[in-house]
Amino acid sequence: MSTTNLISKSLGDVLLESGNGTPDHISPKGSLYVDQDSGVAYQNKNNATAWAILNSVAYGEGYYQNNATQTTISTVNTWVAVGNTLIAGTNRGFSANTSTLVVLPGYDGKYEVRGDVTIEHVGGTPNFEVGLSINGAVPVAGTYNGNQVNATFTRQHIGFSTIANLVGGDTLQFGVRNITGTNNVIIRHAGLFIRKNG
Amino acid sequence: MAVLQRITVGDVHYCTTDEIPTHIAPKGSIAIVISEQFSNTLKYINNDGGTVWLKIIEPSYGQLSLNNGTTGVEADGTQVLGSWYAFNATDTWTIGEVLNFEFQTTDDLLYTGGTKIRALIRQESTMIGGSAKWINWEVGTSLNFIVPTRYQECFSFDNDAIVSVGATRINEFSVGDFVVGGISPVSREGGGPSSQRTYIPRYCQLTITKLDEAVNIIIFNEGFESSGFTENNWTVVNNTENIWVVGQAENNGGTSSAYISNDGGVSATYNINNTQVSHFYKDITFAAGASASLVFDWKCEAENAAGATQYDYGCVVVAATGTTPAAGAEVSTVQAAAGGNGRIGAVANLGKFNLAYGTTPGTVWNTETIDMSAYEGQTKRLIFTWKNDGSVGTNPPFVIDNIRVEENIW
Repeated sequence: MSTTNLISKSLGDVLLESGNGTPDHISPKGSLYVDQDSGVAYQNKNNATAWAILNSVAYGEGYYQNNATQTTISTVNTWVAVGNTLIAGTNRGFSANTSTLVVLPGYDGKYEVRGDVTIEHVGGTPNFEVGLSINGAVPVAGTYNGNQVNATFTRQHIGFSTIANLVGGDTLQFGVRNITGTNNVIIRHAGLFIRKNG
Repeated sequence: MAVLQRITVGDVHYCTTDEIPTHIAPKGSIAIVISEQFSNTLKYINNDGGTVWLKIIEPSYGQLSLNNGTTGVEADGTQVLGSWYAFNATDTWTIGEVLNFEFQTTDDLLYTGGTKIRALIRQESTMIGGSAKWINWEVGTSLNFIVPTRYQECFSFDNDAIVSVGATRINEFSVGDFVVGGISPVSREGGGPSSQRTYIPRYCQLTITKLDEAVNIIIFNEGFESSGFTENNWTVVNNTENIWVVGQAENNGGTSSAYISNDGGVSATYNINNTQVSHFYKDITFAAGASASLVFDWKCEAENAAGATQYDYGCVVVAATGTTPAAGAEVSTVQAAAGGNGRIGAVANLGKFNLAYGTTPGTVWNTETIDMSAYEGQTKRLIFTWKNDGSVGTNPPFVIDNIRVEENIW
């Protein structure tokens, strides 16, 4: 969306601006513009229409290592929430609540989310997929990946990343499904990482 | 917190404040914090139309990659099960895009920015399985060669099959910290010689993205400029001749410093033939979560030899608040374990500040920075001590200026 309702005030050679929409107007280099719709700030880079987002700080980390709890798979190809307790890592704007990371009030925004797990074999030669569950919903396409374990190669890694719009109170959790059978799985190591974009 | 100036542009406020903003403002409003207490100028943006302000930061990042590694490794031969190793310290790595990070030696990224930061670190690695045996791996990044505590796991298959694994974590970086990709063999297929359980660390990408930066705040600052030891309530415990004074024989800014003198402060000199131990001390509270540092400038020539008590030196000791130093006796001659009592700083010289530590410290001011984060949430007694034996030595003795306690606020 282009800039609309642009208002500017001069501070020396720099303009302080506000308006609605992503900026595409010409301003002096160094000018600051705030999109009142998103609350995102931009700085002009070239005396023309190039604007760079000013990155604001919010991030979260929940993890555990060496968990031996089985996640029960009752139905093939059906997502199940991973209930293992996440340890709160380094967080600003997030908190760990049992098996979820929770967005704190006021920290709405667009976030990059990265997940890493190690799946461990319980039985059979199953193919598992692990992805991001937001507010208990099943992981959507683009937010999960898969791998196989068997009786010899008993532990493998699955990682995924995505960008999501989050609001205060949203919960993030690992989901897992067995797409080839009903063997249980152990999510042995897990790390869930979030950083704000813009 | 006070709003110093404000310009309203549409519904958005641009303002300056004297502390980190906590006031209600329209979403997207920008606050610039101007405070002599802070080491850098901070910018915040309001994220909710209420009181949630997010820091605005400038980027730092780094990327390092290994492509087509060819060096084979024997697991349980050259690498022992359960130990951690650099992912590949032999083949050539390629530096990618960096800002405030640089390629230090063979396989690591060094942080060179000026402010303490938090960063997201990711290692993506591929191994090729060796001759005829599988190996089980843990993979994770290491900060300053400390054994990784966050890692992921995989099996590398036998007979030249490949497997990929990635691990992510958040670390804090100070200038000089470095990160290296790590790998640890957990278990391997039994039987046969170790040469049958080989692998090649083939690909690896190490990426670092800054998440946050600390604000450095000086919570205690002693330049010895106005009232000797009394202004900041130092307690002085002097021996009979080589004693602590505040005077103008030396300084590193301003006019005064604290130093050992045997002539009432006229000069920073000591009697090398009279065994002496003198102290000055005070209690300091280190706030929880603040990653505090003790910083001070110092000079000292004196006399050194191997051993923690040989011969003439200054030292800094952390002790319990009930500890009362006595003239003629050292409080501690051992270096403090993490969070414990004992000598701190000058680690390379057993906690002794003299000619054997620092850069020509007899003539040039050196600055010592000591990480005090292990003492977070505690009040400790900080003791500056001078000790000399009864023979040999060169002036100056211990000279101290600009003692600061700095905290990092995230």
